[in-house]
Amino acid sequence: MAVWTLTRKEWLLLLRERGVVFWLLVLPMVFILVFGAVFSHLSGTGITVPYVNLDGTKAAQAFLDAVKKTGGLTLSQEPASALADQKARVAAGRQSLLLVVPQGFGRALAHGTAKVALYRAAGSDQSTGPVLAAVEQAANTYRMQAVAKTLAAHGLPMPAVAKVLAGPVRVEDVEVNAQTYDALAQIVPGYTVMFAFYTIISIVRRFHLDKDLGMTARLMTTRLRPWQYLAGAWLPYGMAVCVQCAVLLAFGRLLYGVHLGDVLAIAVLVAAVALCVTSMGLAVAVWVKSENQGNAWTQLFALGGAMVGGLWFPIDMMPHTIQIIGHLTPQYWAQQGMQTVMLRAGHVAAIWQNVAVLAAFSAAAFALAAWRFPRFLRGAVSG
Amino acid sequence: MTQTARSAKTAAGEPAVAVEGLKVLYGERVALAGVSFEVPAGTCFGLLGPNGAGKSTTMKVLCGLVRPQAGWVRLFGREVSGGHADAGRIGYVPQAITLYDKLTAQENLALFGRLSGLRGAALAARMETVLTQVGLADRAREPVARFSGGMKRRLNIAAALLHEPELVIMDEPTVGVDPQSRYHIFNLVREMKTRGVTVIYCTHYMEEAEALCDHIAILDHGAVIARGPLSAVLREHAEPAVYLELDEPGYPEAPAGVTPPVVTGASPPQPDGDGWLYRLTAGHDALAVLEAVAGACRGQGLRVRRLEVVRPALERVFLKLTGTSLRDEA
Repeated sequence: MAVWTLTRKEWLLLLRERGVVFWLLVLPMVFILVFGAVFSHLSGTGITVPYVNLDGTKAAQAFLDAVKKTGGLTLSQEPASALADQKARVAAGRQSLLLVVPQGFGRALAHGTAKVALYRAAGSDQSTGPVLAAVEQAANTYRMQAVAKTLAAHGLPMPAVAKVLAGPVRVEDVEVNAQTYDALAQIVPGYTVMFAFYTIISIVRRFHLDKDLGMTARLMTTRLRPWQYLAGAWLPYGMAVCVQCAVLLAFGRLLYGVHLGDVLAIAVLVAAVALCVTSMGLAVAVWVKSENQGNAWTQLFALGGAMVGGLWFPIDMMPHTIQIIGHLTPQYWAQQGMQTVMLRAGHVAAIWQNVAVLAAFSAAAFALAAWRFPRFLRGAVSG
Repeated sequence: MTQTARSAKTAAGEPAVAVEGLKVLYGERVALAGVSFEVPAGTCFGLLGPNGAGKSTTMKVLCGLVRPQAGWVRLFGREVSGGHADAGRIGYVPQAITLYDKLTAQENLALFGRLSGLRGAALAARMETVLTQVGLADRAREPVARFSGGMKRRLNIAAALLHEPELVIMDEPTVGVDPQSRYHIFNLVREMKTRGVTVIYCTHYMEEAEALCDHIAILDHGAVIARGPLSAVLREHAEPAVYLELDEPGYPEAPAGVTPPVVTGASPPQPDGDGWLYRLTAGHDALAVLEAVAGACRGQGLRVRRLEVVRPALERVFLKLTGTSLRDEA
């Protein structure tokens, strides 16, 4: 009952604290919104390619359809009158690429001399490279068709033609259990987990405000037991993390249509994250000497963990050493668990390892907190 | 169970609080070096001392916040080994205002009430009672942030009275309050005494101790240097004196031409306020000196406005025992 009394008090204080809603919910939402908008073009269907079709023939349209069919991009038609402006934008670096189907493309195609132009801004290879590959792949389809026609004209039977064109090496495209991969499936759970760790600041603040105010000592003159004081700080913030994660994931779902997968599995992960974050919060709160010191440690855990734990970028994009360090952060296990559920249709059974690791982090942090708490209490009552 | 009924459970003659040989060290620093005293049940006990004397540490030991390295504490006849065994019987009013500014008066009281074991209707009734006692019933739903210093002090006290404790420990409860709040707090302490509640009152204001306390203990450097009933301590550590005020023309603005008489049995009169003070010399009686002064005045044709035996102020005793050097806390 005492734990629930402290929980109720903490919730009242949280709700009346100016800025809490901003820091817990609005700021993370802004991050998800901004970074989602910035990086959403990196997703499979997110790259938009402006094009100008000066030919307008069926053949030109068929080529554009072939480009579209390669996947991974969306074509956006610009009027012929905008050609000069579009080229100027690419030249000025305000637009990364432009596909132009020139006039006479259809006639030239009949003679095997057709050309298209892909204008690309200097230094944009990383984002425009996949588009260049897609256009070349479409052009290659035409080349193969021409070769096949020539071979058939020379009397080679069709099965033999197919064998020649197949080439010695084939790439098998295997997409394992994935729903649609999307940068948002990185960003939404990533920032949700990252901001959950900032709850540590609130826990540290409560402990040190209570200590400095003399409230810890005063509460200890009631029937409250030390373990109840710890639990009374753990429970309300654990609930706050759960609410925060639920709101941010729902925000990602509503705004960007991010696929959440098995809600039960996500809920289990969120609970594990909440347990881990609050246990770390208790440990930091009772070990540091001041609120400022606690804030510094929180930044280290939250930002450092986000960076090496793969919350900002997929972890396989990082150097090998960083990947190894990343495995030592709770953020890594939380993010991997989220993506197992959201991208690979995993259920509770698929994330047991992630939950177990998060629980182990929690147990270690809680043990540290419980070990140090008597000393914190002595300092709080004798000050 | 009412307070009176509960107090009656303390055996007759048994002090509410008995402390013997308390020793507390904070690292190398000695906070208490063998403190002993007794607090009779139903009285107000003044715990006095300069900064750093060990008053707060003593109170924390009584509340179970600090465990002594040596000595023992007996509350209502039962020895406590620190902790919460008697949390329900003790109400602690700390020197700091331990209230959450963003919560209302009612919400703050509900927090402490629930943590003291009160629930539902009983809690609501007690909250109403204590809010009325401290004159804040009409401000119950306001956030504490809007309260004046005096209102916060009174609410701080109310939080300690919710569970009807038999022993109330008050650590400088009138610091920074206006005269009206102080008057209200004094009345509250007197009212507690009439209901049989034992009060330990810690203060730096000697006039408060004189006005409220039946017994006192003066601590210095972690040890008790004087203790007992207030009147006995005053008697033991300061002689009474005789005070004289004359009613002469132009007096007291132009007292130069007026000379008070010198009498046997007292030192030469020293100016004190609007009159003179005769300190008794060893072995002389205050009444005899008073009579001698009256006779001398009559003999010299001096008209007397005021002539009385005065009890020495506690402040004088306190300074005599603890000295006048500054005691800035570390």
